[in-house]
Parts: sequence; structure tokens; C-alpha cells
Amino acid sequence: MGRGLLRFGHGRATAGFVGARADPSTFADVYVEYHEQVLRFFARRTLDPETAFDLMAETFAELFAHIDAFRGETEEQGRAWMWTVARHQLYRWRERGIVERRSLERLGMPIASLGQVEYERIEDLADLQRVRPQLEHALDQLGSEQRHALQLRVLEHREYDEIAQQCGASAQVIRARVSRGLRQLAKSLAEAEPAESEELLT
Amino acid sequence: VTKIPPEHVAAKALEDSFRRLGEERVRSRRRRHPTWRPSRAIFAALASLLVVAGVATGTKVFLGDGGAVRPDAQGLKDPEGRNDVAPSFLQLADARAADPHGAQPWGLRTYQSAGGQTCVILGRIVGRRLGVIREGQFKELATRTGGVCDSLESLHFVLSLRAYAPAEPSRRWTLYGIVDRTVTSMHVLAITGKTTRVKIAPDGTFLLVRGDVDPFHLAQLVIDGSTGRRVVPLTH
Repeated sequence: MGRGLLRFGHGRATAGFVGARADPSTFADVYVEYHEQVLRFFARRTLDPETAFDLMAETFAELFAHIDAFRGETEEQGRAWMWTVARHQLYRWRERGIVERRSLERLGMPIASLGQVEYERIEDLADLQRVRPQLEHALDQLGSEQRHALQLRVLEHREYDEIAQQCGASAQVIRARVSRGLRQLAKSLAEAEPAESEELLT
Repeated sequence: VTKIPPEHVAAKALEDSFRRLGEERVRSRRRRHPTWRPSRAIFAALASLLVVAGVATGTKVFLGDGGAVRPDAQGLKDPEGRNDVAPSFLQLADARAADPHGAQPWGLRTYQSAGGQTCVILGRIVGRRLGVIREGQFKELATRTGGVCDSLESLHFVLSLRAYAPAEPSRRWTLYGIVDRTVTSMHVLAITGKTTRVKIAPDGTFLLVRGDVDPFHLAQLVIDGSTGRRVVPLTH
């Protein structure tokens, strides 16, 4: 099934959330349509590709698990439901510091590791340059190794392999340092976040 | 056509999982509700049942004039096993809630739809009648008024969340529905972490009416029971 079934409001047959409630086999199309928007939402707020991906996966798992309980009659209501669940996931992550995998586990859905291309794609979605001023300020609060890794990766756009070579550590270790540093930064950015996200207004 | 690039391995794997699980759920639904074509013998059997049911109703074997019957996972059944389905289309449910602005109290009516779903209608109660308030006057709901319906058998709950005049100072937020016997307790979990117990009436119905500034905003309804815990996001 393609995008055509997900063009809403043009007098065509629609699938989307309403369709997926009647026919759960079309939920995968809903996921394909919206997963990148949700991923960007989490990437910009967590600044960590792996956390963002896990939160996105749990959001869609929860939506799928409760698709029978979705009460909406329009796709707009479906999207509103999706963002509500996404914001709950973010709220719980901020409160508890871990990504809950309740729905993923209940559905028996494993999460594959992010590949290099996918990891960098999510970093692009996070648009880290957008938060460059805050990042520079927050760098002062970090340890020297994390600060150095973040400077090279985010401010100078160096490749992980290049940073690893320069620091004398593996690319995996550098990725972890960058990830931890960004997570710390995400907490300080959360306080400055506007009440309503742009995604919620669409 | 929207496609996930193959190099996005993890995202693609999730898509594959959702396709597989979606198809499994469709098969599971078909097993629970198989499509069938009624034969003459079945029509004859149904006709016989209707005759028996008519006699039984006349002798008050059914619970039409009794209290509401809390359904179980297999459908609406009398807890004492006396019969299968109460003629509940006019039945006033047990759940009640006071109006937060001091007007007429709120109540529910339950019935079974023609398709076998369990339905719940919300309204205001005057005496034993359910209705609406229009221009200050109580107007009883017609017996054929439709409600919120769903399959209690598969979901174990039917739930609705509605706001009345949310822009007005006299606004009300309502959360109501019915659960079957597998559900033992429910509570609303607000985004602040505050929990509010939802009282389940003897017939399985529940009803909360609030006059605050959207008390259910970004909240979840947590439903516990013998089939495990379910968490339902509350959205209008």
C-alpha cells in the first residue's frame, strides 16, 4: 500500500489511523508515513539518535497496541493521538531517564541496532546546529573528554572515525561520549522548550 | 510511494514487524469473529429462539425489570447464570456523577447494538429518565438514541471522553464507559503524576464529570485486571 491511501481530505479512500483500527494490517503504512516526523520530534528533544529511535519505536508500538481503543473519526484526531502518546513518552523519559519498552516487549518487537547511515540521518533530523549557542554554553559544564568529542563532532562536523583516530579511542567510544554529552545538554534545553511543539500544531 | 530506504535497517525492521503483527491481528480477529453465511437451519433455530424469548420475557424470566447486569468477557451474562442477554436497551446504568456546577446529575444508559457491540450513552438524570438539558429544560433521550459502541468481548472496556462547551465557564469534562468482569480497578494518571481512582459500579459502568480546566489533558487511563494492565491515552 502506498502513500495514496494516506492523502487525507481529498475525497479519496483513506487508511491512516481510522483505517488501521478497522484493518490493523495497514498500521505499517501509518508508521511509514509518520515515523520520520516522530523521530525528528524526539531527536530534537533528546539530541541522542539511539534514545530518539527507541522512543519513536515505543510510541508506535503503543499506538499499535491500543489501535482498537482509538476513538477518533478523522486523521487529524489520529495525528493528535499520536503526538499525545509521543509527548507522554518524552515526559516519562525525562522523568525516569530511561526509555520504557513496555509496548515493544508486550508485542515481542526487538529493536535492531542503528547502522552508521541511519545514526547520522537521525543526527541530521535533530538539526544540532539549531542549538549551537546553547551547546557552546553547556560545553563548559562537561568533562574534558566529552567536551572535546562534542566540539569535534557537532561544532566541527568531523566524522566519528576521524575523531576516534585523533583521540586514540574507538568510534564506538566516541559515539558514547557524544551521546552522553548531548543527553546532558538535552536536559538543559528542555527548560527552554516552547509549550507547544510545531508538530502538535500540524 | 513512501518507502523506508533499505540502509535504514532499524526503521525498516520496525516496519516489517508492524506488517507481521498487523496481519496476525487481522487473522486473530477473523478467528474470533468468523464470517459465515446463515443456513436455513440456522434461520429456523433463530425463529424458535425468538418464540422462546418472547414467552420468557412475558414471564419475567429475563432481567428487563431488574438491575443492570455486569457483563463478563464472553458477553452480557447474568451473574447467576439465569439467561444470556438482558433486554437492556432502555436500561439505566448504575454509574452516577454529581454535576460540578450543581445542575442535574449525570448518568448512563447501556444497550447492545444490532451488531452485538456494547454501547453507552451519557446524559442527565431526572427521576429514572436520561436526557439532555436544552435551554434550561430537561428533554428525555429517545430510545433509539445512539451511543458509543465497541466490542467488550475483545477489548474488555468501552470508553469515551467528551468535553461539553470547553470554551464556556460552565464547561464539563466527562470520562465514561463500561468494563467487563476481567477488569478489577481503574485510575486516571495525570501528567503531573497524580492518580484518581475511577469507581466501577456493580454493573461495570463508570462515570467521571469534572468542571476544572481539562483535568484529563495528556492523562492516561490505567486499567488493571485479570488480562493484565492496559494504559489508554486520553484524548478528546
